[in-house]
Amino acid sequence: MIKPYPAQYCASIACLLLSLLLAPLLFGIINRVKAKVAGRQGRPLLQLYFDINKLLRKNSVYPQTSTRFFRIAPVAGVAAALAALLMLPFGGVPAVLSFPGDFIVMPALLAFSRYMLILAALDTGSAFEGMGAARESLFSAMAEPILIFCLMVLAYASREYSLSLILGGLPATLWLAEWPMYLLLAIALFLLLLVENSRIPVDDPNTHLELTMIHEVMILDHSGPDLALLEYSASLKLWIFCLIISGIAIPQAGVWGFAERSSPAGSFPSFALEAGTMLLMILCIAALVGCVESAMARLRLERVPQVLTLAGSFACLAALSLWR
Amino acid sequence: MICILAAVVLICCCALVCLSCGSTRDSGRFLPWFIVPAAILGLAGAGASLWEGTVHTVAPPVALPLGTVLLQLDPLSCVFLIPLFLLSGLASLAAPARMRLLADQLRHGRHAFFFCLLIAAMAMVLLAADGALFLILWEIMSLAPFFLLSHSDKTGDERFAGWIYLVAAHLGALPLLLLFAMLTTEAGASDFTSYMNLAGHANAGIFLILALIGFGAKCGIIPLHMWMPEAHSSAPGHVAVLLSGTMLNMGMYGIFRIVSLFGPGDPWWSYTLMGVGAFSGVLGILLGAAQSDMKRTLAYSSAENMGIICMALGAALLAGRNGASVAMALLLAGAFLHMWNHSLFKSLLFLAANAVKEGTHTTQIQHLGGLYKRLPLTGGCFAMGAAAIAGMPPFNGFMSEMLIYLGFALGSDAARGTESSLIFWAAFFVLGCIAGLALFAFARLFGLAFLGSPRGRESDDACEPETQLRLIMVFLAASCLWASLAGPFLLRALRIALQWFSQTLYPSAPLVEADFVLGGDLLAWYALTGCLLLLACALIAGGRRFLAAKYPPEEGITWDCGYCRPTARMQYSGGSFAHSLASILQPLIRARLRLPRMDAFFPSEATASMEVADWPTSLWNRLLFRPVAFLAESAKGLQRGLVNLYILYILAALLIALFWALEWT
Repeated sequence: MIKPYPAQYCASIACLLLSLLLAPLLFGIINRVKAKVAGRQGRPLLQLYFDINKLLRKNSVYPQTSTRFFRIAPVAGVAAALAALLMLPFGGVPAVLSFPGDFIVMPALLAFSRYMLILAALDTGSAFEGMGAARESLFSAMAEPILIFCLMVLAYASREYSLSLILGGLPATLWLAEWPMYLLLAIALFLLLLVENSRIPVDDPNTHLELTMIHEVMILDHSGPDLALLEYSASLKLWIFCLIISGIAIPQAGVWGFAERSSPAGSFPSFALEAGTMLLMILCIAALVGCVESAMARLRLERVPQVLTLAGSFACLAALSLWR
Repeated sequence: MICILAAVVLICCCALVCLSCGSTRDSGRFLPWFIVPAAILGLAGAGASLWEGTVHTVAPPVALPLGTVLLQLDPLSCVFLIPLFLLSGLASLAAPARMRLLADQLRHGRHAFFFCLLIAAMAMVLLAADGALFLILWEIMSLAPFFLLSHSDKTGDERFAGWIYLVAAHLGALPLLLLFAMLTTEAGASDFTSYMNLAGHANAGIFLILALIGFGAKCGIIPLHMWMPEAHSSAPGHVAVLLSGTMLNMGMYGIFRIVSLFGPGDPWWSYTLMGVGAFSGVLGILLGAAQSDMKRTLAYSSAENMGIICMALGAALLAGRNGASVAMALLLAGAFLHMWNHSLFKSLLFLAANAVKEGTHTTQIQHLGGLYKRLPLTGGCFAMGAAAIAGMPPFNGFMSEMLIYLGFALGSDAARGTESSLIFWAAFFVLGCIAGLALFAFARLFGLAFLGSPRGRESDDACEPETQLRLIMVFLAASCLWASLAGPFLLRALRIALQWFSQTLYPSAPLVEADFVLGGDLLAWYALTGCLLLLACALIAGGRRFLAAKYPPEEGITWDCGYCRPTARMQYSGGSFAHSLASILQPLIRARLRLPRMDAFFPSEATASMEVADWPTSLWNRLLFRPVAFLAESAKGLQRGLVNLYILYILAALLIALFWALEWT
C-alpha cells in the first residue's frame, strides 16, 4: 500500500482534475487525425466541449414510455466513470483511492455504467435501441472477462494488487525484463479499447445508418443535458482505457532516478515530468485510434467476436509468457 | 442450541395446529404467528454461537434403528442456519396471502403442514451429527416440497414439476444412502465424529464423488439440475423462497460437511470441485440468459451461483494445499458470503417475480414489458435484486465475487510457476465470463419485462401486491444494499466459522486472524466505494435537477429514427435479445430457431421463434430415462395375470435356487 502524504494527495487530485478536464479532447484528436488522413480540414479540436456546453443549455425531451431508469443512466454513467478514475493512477502519481483489490472493483464500476445505459436503452421501447442494447450487452459480456484478466496478469507480474502500484510507477527494470508481456497486454487492451468504446472496426459512430451502430444507437433518444452527460461519460471511459494502456506502455521513472516506487516524496518537477509523459502517451493513443479508424472499415457484426477472441488470445499469450 | 431446538419445536407445533385445522380456508394465518417468533429465536441462537464459535452437542436418549439421535451445533451449521431462519420467517409472512390467492386450488391445512415440516426438517438436517439421523431428516426434507409443489394437480405443468421433483429427489437420495452406508460400515459407528477417523481413507475419493452427485442434485449443480427449472417456476412465491433461498444451501451444506469431514483430500478433489463449479456456472447462466420465462431464468441462475460457490470451495482447498492462507481465507469467506448473498437476492427476485405473476398471470417475457410504470415498487425491488445478482456495485452480489476474484489472484501468485497457478487463472477467467454473462442475462430480464411498453394485454390491470409482501420485498432489497455496506462486519461474524472450517481441513496450519485482514480491508474499501458512487450520483443528479429547473424537460414519443408510429410489437423481444448470444455459443446453448420461409412474392403473416431446450436434461433422457422406461415397459410382459404362468415362475425360481445351492456347497 502507498503511504499517503499531503503533497502526493495534492498531485493525485490535480491529476484527477486534469483527467476530468481533458477527457473530451480525445474525441477531438481522433476526429482531427481522421480528417487529416482523409485530406479534410476537420472539426475544431474542442468540438465536444462546444457540444457539451450547448447541450447543457437545452431542455431534454423524454419519450412517453420512459421511466426513471432513462433519467438515471446518464448520471450513473458519469458517477461510475468518476469513481473509476478515482482508482486509476496517473503515471507515477498514485490514485486518490488505492487499496489492494481495486483492480477488480474498477472494471465493475465500468460495468455498472454500462448496465444502466442498457436499461435506459430498453426503457425507450424502441426497436433500434433494443438492438443496440442487445449488441452492447453481448460484446461487453465477452470483453469484461478479458479486461479483468489483463489486469490480473499485470497484478501477477508486479505482485501488487492495487492499480496504483500495478500501473503507476512501473519500474523500468521490471518492464525491461518482461517487455514482451507488457507489449502483448498493451495490444490486447488496445483492442478492448476499440470494442468497449465503440470505435471503428467494431462500431462506426459516424454512420448515417442506425441499424449498424451500437453505442450511438443506444443514446438516440437522449437529448439536452442528458446527452451531454452521456457524451462526457463516453469520453471519460475512453480516457480511462487510454490511461490503463499508457500505464503499461511507459516504463516509469526508475531509469532516470526519480519517483521511485516506495520513496515517499517526489519533487514537483518530477511529478510534472511524469504527468507530462503520460499525457503525451494518452494523446498518442488517441491519435493511433484515429489512424486505425482511417485505415479500416467497420467489420461485420459476426466478426466482432473474432476481434475479442484476438484480444483474449493476446492476453493469454501474455499470461503464458509470464508463466513459462 | 436450546434456542434453535425451541424454534424447531415451535415450528412443529405450528405444523400440527395447521393440520388440525384441516382444509379450512384460513389455516395459513397461523404460520406467521408461530414461525416468526421461531425464526427470531433461531436467528438469535445461531447468531450468538456463530459469533462465539462454540460447539454444542445434545444426545437425547432415544434409540434409532442403525444409529443414534445425536445433534450438534457447530460453526458450519450456524452459517447455514442464519439464512434458513431469516428466510423462513419472511416466507411465512408472505405465505397467508399467497395461500389465499390460491384458495380454490389448495388444501390449506396440508399445505401449511408441509411448509412447516420443510422448515423444521431443514433446521434439523443442519443439526444432525449422525449418519442415520441425517438420512432420515434429509428424506423428510426432500419429500416435503413435493407436497408443496403438487398443491394443485390441475395443470399438466404442475403435475410434471411435482413428478420430476420426486424422481430427482429419490435419485439424489440413492448416492447418499450408499455414501452413508459405506461410511458407517467403514467407521463402525454412524456418528460424524467416528466418520472423521476415515479422513485419508483409501476410498475418500469415492465418498466425495457420491456426495457431489447426491448433494449436487439437491443444490442443482448442472447436469443434475433437471428438477430445478420446473419446480422453481411452478412453485408459489413463499415456496420458491424456501426452495431457492434455503434448500439449495442444504445441498451446499452437504458438500461442505463432507469436505470438512474428509478434507482436504487429493489435489484432484479441488480440480473436480472447480471443474464441476465452472461447468455449472457457465452453463447455468448461458441457459438462463436465453430463457423466455422469468422464473426459469432465475432458476438457472441459481445453478450458476451454486457453481461459483463450488468453484471457490475447490480453489480454497487448492490454495490451502499450496500454503496460501490469505487466498484460502478470501476464497472461503467469498464462498460463505456468496451463499448468504445469493439467499438474499434470489428470494427477493422470486418474490418479485411471483408478484408479477399474481398481477399479470404470466411470467413469459414476450407478454410483459412496461411493468415498472404499473408496479413501481415491485419493479424497483426487482431492479435492485437484478443489479445485485448481476454483480453491480454498490450491491452485495459483487462483494463476495470480489473476494473470490482476489482469492484466485492471490492463489495463483502463491503457486507461482506451477500448474496450479494456471488453474487459478482459468478459474479467474471463468468467473469473469460468468459475471459478464450475468450482466447480459439480468439486464435483459429486467429491461424487457419491466421497461419499454407492454407487449401484451396481460399487464393492463396489474396492481401491486399487498402491503405485507411489499414490506418484505423492500426489506430484502434494502438488505442487498446494507449487506454490501456492512461487509467487514459480516466477515467478522464469519471469521470464527472460517477458522473452524480450516482447522478441520488443515489442523497443522489453520487460518489465523491476520489472514482475514486483507479481506476485511477490501470489504471496507468496497463499502466506501459504494458510498462514493451513491454520493457522486446524488451530486450529479442534483446538478441535473438544477438544470432541469432552468430548462424544463418535455415529453414526446420515442424518436425511433423518425418513425412516428412505433408499436409495442416492434420492440426487441426476449428471443431477439438473446439470439446473437445463442448463435455465437450454439454448441453450449443449442437453441432451436424456427424461421418463416418466404417463398411467395407477397409473404403472408409469419412467426419466428427461438426455443431453448435444456440439453443436459435431454441428454439424460436419451441416455438414462428412456432406456430405463423401455426396460420397464418390456418387463410388463412378464406379468400377464395367468395363475399357471406365475406357478411356472415359482417353479423356475425354486429350481434355480436349488441348483445354485447345490453348486455353492
